[in-house]
Amino acid sequence: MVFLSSGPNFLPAGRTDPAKRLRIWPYFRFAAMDGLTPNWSSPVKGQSTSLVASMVTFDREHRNHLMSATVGKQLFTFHGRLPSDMLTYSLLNVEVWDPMPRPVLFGGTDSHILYHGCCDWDSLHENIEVCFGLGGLGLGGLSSGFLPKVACDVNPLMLELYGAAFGIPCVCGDICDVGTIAKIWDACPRSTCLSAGIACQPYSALGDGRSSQDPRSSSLPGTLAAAHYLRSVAVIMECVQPAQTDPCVVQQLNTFCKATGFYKSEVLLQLSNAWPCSRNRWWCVLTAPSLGPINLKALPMFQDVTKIKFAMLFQPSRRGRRNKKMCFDSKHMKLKPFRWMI
Amino acid sequence: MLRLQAHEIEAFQVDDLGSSPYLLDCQGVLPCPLHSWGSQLRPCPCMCRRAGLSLERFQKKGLFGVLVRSALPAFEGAVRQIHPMECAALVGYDPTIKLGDSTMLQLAGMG
Repeated sequence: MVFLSSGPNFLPAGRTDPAKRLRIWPYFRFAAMDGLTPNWSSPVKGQSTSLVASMVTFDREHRNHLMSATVGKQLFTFHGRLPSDMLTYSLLNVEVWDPMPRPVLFGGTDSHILYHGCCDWDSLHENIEVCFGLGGLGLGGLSSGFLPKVACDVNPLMLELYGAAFGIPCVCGDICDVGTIAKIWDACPRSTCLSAGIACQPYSALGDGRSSQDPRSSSLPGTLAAAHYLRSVAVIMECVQPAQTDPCVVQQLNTFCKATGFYKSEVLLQLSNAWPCSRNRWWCVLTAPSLGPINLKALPMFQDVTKIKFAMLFQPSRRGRRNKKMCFDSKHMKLKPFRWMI
Repeated sequence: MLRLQAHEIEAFQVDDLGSSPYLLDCQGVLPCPLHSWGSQLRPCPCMCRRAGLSLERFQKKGLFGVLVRSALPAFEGAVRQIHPMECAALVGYDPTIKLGDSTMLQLAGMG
């Protein structure tokens, strides 16, 4: 029996024990990026897997849905209740019931079934932000017309900051957990854009540059898997410059694009070209085949605000010429000076 | 909270005149903000680290941070950590957004 997550579009999958609804869901962690689709060559009975599939033949009895995986096009049978007339279904943490001759999958008590209709013009301009920190990426997206709908972060303290500022649904959890993905879908069950400030520590020099040896590097495959399972139409990612050439990152992105047909566009943006801050960031945008590739351009050079003193006002202090007080230039920044310096 | 503690004053080499090699250079650009700015010698406010960074790490990687002088009359000339909203303005983040009350947590979020 499928035990679906609760949510606005909850669909019971047969009889379930009400007491079980109170259980805390054990989380299933993605093992690897190739987890976008099961290993069909040697499925093992009882093995848990996650995949996205489309319906080939719908069974009104919900015992024998014939489905096709979106990655690999493998046919399989799914046993469990599914809504009809959906474009795709994300079957998360389902179990292999019978591996041969045609695999039979079924939803267990830890499974999550997400279903997806077609996207619309509005949902294309909605944004789910994961690994958001202070939400800078979502803020930039908002100024570009992308409305933040859900935010997800593993740190509840950061979540409070973001929630206070934006007032949108927040999901606290690890993006590598299918339970977290199901919660995001509960809050926004549409195909949207997904943005992520993936963990930079595995790739930066000060973060020791351990790449895939750093457990925080799982934020990239977790983000890609979340985008796949949530049927995101575009994935916007940002990280430090060395991530662009990191072999693991390159391999994971190429694997994702090859499996899903997504296009990859990337650019290195140097904030110092336009603003007095030494901040180089690699930006990568993955877009669905229907959207096509997006041409990203480097920041143009501006000569207006090249030093901090052009952005902020420094006033001489009584303590001598070396002492300078700092505050925003209220004339240009439209802020009351000193207001926050309490 | 942004005020330097005694051991931080020593680590950031703040002298009696209030000078330090870590003072923000208004003639230059802001270094890339790091998550540990403001908390390298303290527990991280986001709870990812329960103590300051190790001495071995300081010897290997160095100490990072940006200090500024407080503009408040009560703290005339005192050196403090850069405020998250000052940092926000210099990294292109909207400095007018109210992000709660924990300035150190906000500063960590800038990195």
